[in-house]
Amino acid sequence: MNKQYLLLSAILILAGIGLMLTPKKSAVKELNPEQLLLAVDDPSRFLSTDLITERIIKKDPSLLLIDVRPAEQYKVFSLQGAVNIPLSLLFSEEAKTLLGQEGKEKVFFSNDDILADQAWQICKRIKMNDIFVMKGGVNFWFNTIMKDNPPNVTDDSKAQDLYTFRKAARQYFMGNTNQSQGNSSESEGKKEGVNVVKKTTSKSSGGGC
Amino acid sequence: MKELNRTTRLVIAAIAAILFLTIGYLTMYRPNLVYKLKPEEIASKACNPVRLMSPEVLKSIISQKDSKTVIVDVRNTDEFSKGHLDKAVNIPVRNLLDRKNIDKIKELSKSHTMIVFYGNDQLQASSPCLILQQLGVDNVKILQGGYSFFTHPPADSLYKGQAAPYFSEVPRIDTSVLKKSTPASSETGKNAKDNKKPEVLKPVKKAGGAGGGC
Repeated sequence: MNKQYLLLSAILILAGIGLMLTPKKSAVKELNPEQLLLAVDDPSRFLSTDLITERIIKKDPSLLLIDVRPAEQYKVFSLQGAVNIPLSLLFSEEAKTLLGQEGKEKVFFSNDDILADQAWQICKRIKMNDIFVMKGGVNFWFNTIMKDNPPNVTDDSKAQDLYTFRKAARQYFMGNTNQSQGNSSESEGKKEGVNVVKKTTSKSSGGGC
Repeated sequence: MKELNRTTRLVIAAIAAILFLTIGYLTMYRPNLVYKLKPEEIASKACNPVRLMSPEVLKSIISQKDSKTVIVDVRNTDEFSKGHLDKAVNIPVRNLLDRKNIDKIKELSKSHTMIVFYGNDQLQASSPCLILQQLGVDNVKILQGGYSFFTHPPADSLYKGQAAPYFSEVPRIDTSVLKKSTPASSETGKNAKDNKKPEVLKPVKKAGGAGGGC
């Protein structure tokens, strides 16, 4: 046997052993801290409650609402169509399948926006795409949409429009629960927020017939 | 002669290889900042109430003369120059991980000096603080309510009977609004929610179908 071949193979084997001993790199690619800081500094992740409301009412199929509050709070009240992933269960198998859905815009929300933003940051670090935070959270959503806050007469038309929209949205969310009592849906729709309710009915009838 | 030549060549090759490896190792890219916590670990640490500081406590810290606590304002320099808390230093969010800033923070971390961060609201300070926590800096606190609350606290009467207004992530919804308008629906709502599935509000789908006239 040639000495050189022996030497070369010994080197190869040693190198192989060396590779085996190198520390395991985490399989998930991550954003480095500097990139994460830049992402955190960028406010484009925040979506307004009114925008979310509009998308809920229009039954936007690309919207995935994620409630990161504890399960008890989720049971008391949550946004329509939201799924519950408490922050501590963010890495559970169920959460992984939910968050792994392609083509869905995942919107995190909590009572305010702090918990939701932390969930966002953790997901951002592991390079998850299409994730957003609902600015203001459930508290702001509930207190602007489910409660009547008429604008001042002196407010500009934008504020008036917003009020009309929120009023119509309230009618939509309240009206839906009313229907479970047996109220007819059409009279509900005619009362107020006509365009909002009509849109959803036409959509669902198109799918159903 | 031929044999000798071969061994010397081999030795040269070996030396070259070793040189190559050592130079590669020495010039290897080593990031300045490395996460100390895995994403899974930080998920359980996030939003820990220990990280929060109430405006009252901060006020008393500011009034102390020999307090070692460092107060950091993460708003941008314009806002900082218009007005800031006493004794605060300005590190805008995007400069937080600049070499000199992060080195200073790490130094304070080693000496266990508390650092209080504040932004316009609590959110502005809480996100950068979570990054610091992931980097292993553990002596950070966040001012509840932020600068706007500290300087202009809202009237207490607005929050009658509820948690102090600067507490975030407290449910502030009056579910009785829902129940009043729909006395019977609360039950159906609950049943649906117990399933813990996306179809939380089942009635909606039914209602939609009925409206369509099918």
